[in-house]
Amino acid sequence: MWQFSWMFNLIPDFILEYFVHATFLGGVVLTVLGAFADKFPFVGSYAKLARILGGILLVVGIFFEGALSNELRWKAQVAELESKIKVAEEKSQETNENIRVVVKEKIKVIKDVQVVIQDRIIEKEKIIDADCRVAPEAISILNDAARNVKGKQ
Amino acid sequence: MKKLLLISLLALAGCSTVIPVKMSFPQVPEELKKSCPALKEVDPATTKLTEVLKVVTANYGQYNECQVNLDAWIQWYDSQKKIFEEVQ
Repeated sequence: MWQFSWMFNLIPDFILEYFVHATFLGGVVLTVLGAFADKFPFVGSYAKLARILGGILLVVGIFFEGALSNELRWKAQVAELESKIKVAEEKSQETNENIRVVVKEKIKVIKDVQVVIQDRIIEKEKIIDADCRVAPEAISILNDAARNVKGKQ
Repeated sequence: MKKLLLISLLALAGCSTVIPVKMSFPQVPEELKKSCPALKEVDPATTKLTEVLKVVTANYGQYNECQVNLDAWIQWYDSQKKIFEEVQ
């Protein structure tokens, strides 16, 4: 069934609509004409043919009317979803840009603070190192913690 | 022969996969793709407290940067999830 839908996609909407409505209306007209044609002397012999052809066109027309209506509804839903996705992608880009700016600013602040802290250490180096000598064991513990290993007990 | 061709064409149509609408996966800012570096270590030969302090404070700075990145990842995920849910 969906092969029809797939084929419908290849044809422009206005041609499809024209064709389907024409088939349906042709079916209706031929069926009605076929019903009364045998009452007229010259066209009476075509009444049966008109009824058969009208019946076929009517059935095919109704089927394609349904298919077309479904197709158009489907296309409308696709168009709506596409527009939603476009908006979502724009919002996503905007969010990314905001996050990028915030992260950049925060990292800059952290790096600036780091520079100040390192300068303060250098400034107070003599005072800090004057009365304090760090034992190698303390450094070993600190490095083990940095490496996330238990180290020697 | 003509009917056979038409039937084959209809049958071939069944092989194609129609995905009418596709939403691409949201991109992550490049700033967030950096992994956290390993912590710096103190030179084992040093006995100066300032050398220890320099490394420890640098590691604190490193942690703060990683914290900012992690927070940004959480914010990115929450925002993108909200945007994605609005489309559904």
